[in-house]
Amino acid sequence: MSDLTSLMALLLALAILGAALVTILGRSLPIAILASGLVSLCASVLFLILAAPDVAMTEAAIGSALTTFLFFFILGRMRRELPDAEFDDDPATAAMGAKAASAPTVEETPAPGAKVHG
Amino acid sequence: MDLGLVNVFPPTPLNLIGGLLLVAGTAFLLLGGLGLVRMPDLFNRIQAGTKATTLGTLLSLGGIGCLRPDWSLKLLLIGLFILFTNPLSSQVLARSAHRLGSKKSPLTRVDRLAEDNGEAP
Amino acid sequence: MVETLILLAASLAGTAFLLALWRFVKGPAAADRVVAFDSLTIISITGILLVALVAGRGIYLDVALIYALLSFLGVIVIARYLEGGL
Repeated sequence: MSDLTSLMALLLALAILGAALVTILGRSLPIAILASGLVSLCASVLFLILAAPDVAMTEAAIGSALTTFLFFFILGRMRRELPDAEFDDDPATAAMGAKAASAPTVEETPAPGAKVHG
Repeated sequence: MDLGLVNVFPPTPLNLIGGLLLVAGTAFLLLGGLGLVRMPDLFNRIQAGTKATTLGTLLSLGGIGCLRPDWSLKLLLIGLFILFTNPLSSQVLARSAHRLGSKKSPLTRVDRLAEDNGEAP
Repeated sequence: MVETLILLAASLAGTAFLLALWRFVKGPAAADRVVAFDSLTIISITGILLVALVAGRGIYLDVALIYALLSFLGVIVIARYLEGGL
């Protein structure tokens, strides 16, 4: 390997480390699936640098694309069939940032005219 | 620094044009990454992260096509796929974010889709 | 001369990769990470092209072709999931 490809491999290893940390430490399941897809992407480029284009092609097709699809399909079906299951523990990193972030504040501070049932 | 180049690229005009196109394309990639970090809300990040990187990749493909003309058919195919699929994915993502009501920064003033739907922008 | 330009291009692409990775690690919502993931895929297509140019092997371009084909399918599936339509 030349100096340039060594530096690229170092950068990719750093990216794999960061994505794996996001996968483990993140509290939301979709983000963890996305980060594991990023691990596969960087590993595929790393295989290419190590002169194994066939392994890189397989990793790109299966690891980065197909596994992510499969996980999201399963997650969507689980969400449809188990409506009260919680996949997103952390309200700050919830799906689009708006709904889950605004929902608790609405619950905490009801409108002045609202009556509390009970 | 040792690049370990297999082929030697003499400084002919075609090779110089190819190298300059490559640098221009990666500069656009850098601008896209900078926009991804600096932009205030999701819609601006989608713009920066998709438009600039599409242009950058197409310029890089052109540069590599100038450096290695024997690869140009495959490079053309890659460029065609990127040109077709990248705006599509960004549009789907932006529509999904808009439908879910993603937060907009106060600097984002124009929202044509909400105006078309008859909502307040 | 051309070697210097290739080196400059590789360093610019590496910086872009680091910036997009920063947005991926930091990004507050899942959609921000999806955007960063898409950008990382496109930047790594350019990285694959540079590796193919340095190694001088045209077979490496097939991996870039697969990425160009498959990256958008992933983003569409994730967007449909976040929308609730999957």
